[in-house]
Amino acid sequence: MKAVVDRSFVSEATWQKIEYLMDRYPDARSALLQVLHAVQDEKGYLDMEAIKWIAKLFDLPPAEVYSVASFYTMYNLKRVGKYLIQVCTNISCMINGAEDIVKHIERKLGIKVGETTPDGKFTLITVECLGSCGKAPAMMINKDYYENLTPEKVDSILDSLK
Amino acid sequence: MSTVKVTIDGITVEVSPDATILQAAAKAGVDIPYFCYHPFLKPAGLCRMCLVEVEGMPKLAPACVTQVRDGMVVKTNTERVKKAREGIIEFQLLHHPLDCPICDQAGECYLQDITFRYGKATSRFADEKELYPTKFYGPLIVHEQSRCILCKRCVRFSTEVAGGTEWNVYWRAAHSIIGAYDTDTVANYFTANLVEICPVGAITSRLYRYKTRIWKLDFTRSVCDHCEIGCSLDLGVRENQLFKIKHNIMDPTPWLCDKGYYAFDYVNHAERILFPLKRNEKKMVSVSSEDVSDQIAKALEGYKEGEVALIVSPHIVLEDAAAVKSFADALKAKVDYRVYGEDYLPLKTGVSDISDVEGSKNILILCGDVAVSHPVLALSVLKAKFSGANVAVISANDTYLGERSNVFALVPASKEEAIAKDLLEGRLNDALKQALSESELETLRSMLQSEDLMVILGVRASSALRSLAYKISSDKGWKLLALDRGSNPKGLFAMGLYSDGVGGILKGVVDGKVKALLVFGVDLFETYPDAALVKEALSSVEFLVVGDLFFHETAAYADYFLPLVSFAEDSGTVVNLFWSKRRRRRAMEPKGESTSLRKWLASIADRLGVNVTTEVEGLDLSSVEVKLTEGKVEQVDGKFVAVVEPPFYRSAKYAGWCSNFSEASAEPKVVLSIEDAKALGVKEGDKVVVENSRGRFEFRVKLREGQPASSVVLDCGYDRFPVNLLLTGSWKVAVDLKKA
Ligand code: SF4
Ligand code: SF4
Ligand code: FES
Ligand code: FES
Repeated sequence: MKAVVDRSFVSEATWQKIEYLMDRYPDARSALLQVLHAVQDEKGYLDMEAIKWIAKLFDLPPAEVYSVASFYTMYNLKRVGKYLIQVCTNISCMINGAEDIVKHIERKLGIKVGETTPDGKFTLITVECLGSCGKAPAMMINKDYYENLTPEKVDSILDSLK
Repeated sequence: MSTVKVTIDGITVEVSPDATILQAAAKAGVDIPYFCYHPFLKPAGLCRMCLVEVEGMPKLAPACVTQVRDGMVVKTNTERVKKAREGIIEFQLLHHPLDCPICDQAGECYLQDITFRYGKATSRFADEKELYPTKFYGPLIVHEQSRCILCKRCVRFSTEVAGGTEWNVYWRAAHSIIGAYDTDTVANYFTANLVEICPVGAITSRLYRYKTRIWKLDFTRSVCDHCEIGCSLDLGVRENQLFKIKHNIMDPTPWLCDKGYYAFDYVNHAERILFPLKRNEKKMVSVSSEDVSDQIAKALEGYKEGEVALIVSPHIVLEDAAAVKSFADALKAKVDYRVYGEDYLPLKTGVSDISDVEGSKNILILCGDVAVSHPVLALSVLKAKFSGANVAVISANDTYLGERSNVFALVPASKEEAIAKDLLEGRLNDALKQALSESELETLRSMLQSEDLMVILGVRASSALRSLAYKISSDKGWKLLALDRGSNPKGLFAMGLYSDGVGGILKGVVDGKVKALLVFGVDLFETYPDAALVKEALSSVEFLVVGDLFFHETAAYADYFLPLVSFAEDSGTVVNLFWSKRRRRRAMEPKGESTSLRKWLASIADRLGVNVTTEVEGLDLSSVEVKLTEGKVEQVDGKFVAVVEPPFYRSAKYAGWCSNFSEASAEPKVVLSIEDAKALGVKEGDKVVVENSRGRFEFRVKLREGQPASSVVLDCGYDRFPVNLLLTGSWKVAVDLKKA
């Protein structure tokens, strides 16, 4: 049988990137994690459709791709807001007030941890150590780090995001 | 072969150098508890239940993945090992619901046994347990994540053995869950093994749910009667009801299919007819066993030579076959077992064991879905494939092995046989080329060049194709395996239970030559690919005796009905696919007045003053001769050509009376190509009318990428849905399609 992958599922730029990634390894399958990232970068999250498309690309069962994607916490399997706020609540951050930061964001945005604002702008989640213990409490918004947080600092950061 | 010496708890044993500590311990008779280890799966080292102390190793070692060394000294009875075991069990039980009283696994649960033997009675865990909801996957299996110990045996079986694609583990660590992705059913025919292989009560059978307790069952070792592989089974009976089937891991493969495991509850079905019946005008009334034999014998006395004929199911045992043969000979009656309408007879070839399949380098499968007709054989093909063999599947319908093989061509139903013939003769037909990619074509060519090639002919392959394959493979030194329907076709052939086919007998009835017909163990309306002929024959025959478990459509025409026993209530011999004899054993008493076919025949013969034998010891399978035929391979033309096949969960014997089993394929479907669907203006899930001059049926559309245009696949085997009406003796037929 001739399997066909619909290239138009991703943008031309992402497709180029995927081809580049898959070519880099003797066994194309080694590129799975990076391709998951590439597709997530474009779509914001990996839904069933994306999982199935990637599975076809690698000639893997969708269950296996989903198994990999769900193992790592950095893949979003549900729709997330334009800005994904990831607040560290691990030990150093917790001692330095991470719980207040979380409560503050919840109040400010009117959502609970795990939820997305109705306008689809923000999603709030908590995560384990971000490796920024020296500058705790810390959070990540999409791929950027914000450290030594205070409620005021959080306000100005969130307000600056368009 | 060189061996090494290992000492375990003071006992020294010699084992092969690639044995593991666990295997060596088994030889030394030392019990090492384990969860994730399984003798027929690759070792995984996941559960750590098997930790032991090895002299010279600082840390405890998992016995299931640690290879032995010469002079190795292992200890399993130390304080460290004891503590480690207690620790592992305490962890395993952290979130475990401890619901043994309502768990179907209780009594055969590794976790129960190991905790009892090696665990502590208390736990230090004071928090709330994480519990998950029960999940049903189709009508056959139920999954309780809360009981799962994450040994991944099920996932490993599913992917390593069954080539399964949907069963996996998701998320991670304490939050890991097992299951099927994006589906509520598990679409493989081997889910039975998930139940059997799960060491705890996380995956159990829905048929067995809350039914009884394992220690209340008496088990008898017998042989599955759904196909001619004849897997070894243990039948669990309580109060003369068959409750459970367990597989016998040693023979002939460690696995079972879903037919063997789940399709047994017909044995206990309330609609089984347990007493003889006779026709009184329009009604059937009961009659004593004595009287029924008297009356049948008297009726048969009135017929002359050649006016009586017998049709028997290809599932009957040799002892019954011997009785049928001697009965038929005494009455000069014709007899045949080929109730599926095919004219071919079994071919005796050099393939004598399932390991021949597993060791093949190249396997070419033609004309049929091996996983539907001979499920466990498909696992052997996959085993070969996973050890590097090339597997090519050329078929007019989608097959289980197709997607899992190196070369897969969905070919037009009209040309299926011609393509197979060309291929065997070394030519690649254009229609075949169209269905394959360049690399697939190359693989296929290299396979045909190889001397180490096994050809497997599916149950659809005609006698002409079989004969041709036989000749070509003898010339080229290929191995050949020709599959037949039923669980004892080879045996019935060897006993000589054939004449000019069931079609020939039915036509004889219609022509008035055959006046009395005896049909045993089969509903011809379901099996014979020409329901109109069956109807005509059964309505015109003067005298009809039907023997079976259920009062089916064929029985509705009968003058007398004889209740037969099921496979669980009878002993006997069958001949399997590899021409060796296998023994079925009686696991329960015959229900009511049901009796084996040979006893019914003996009692009728007795009254006719003839002798029937049940002697089969003398049957010499080595002297069976191959019968080849000449003739053209099958070709069907038409606007649309359909191949008619039962889906897996309708293909078991008495599937209609196995409620959970048949539910797994709920509705008859037609498989269409994308092009045809477009032309007809239908999409997936719509209804389509399939008709020809003989009948008209509505099917639900299923689209299949790669399905050739003008070629469709129709499901059959559904109650009150006699698709066989469309057919004229072959399972392929020209039809017309339109939007419903
Ligand atoms: S479901 Fe059973 S076999 Fe599968 S991982 Fe859990 S305990 Fe093991
Ligand atoms: S492969 Fe055949 S004999 Fe074995 S369990 Fe399945 S149906 Fe029964
Ligand atoms: S604990 Fe928060 S960054 Fe390490
Ligand atoms: S049996 Fe050895 S780790 Fe599971």
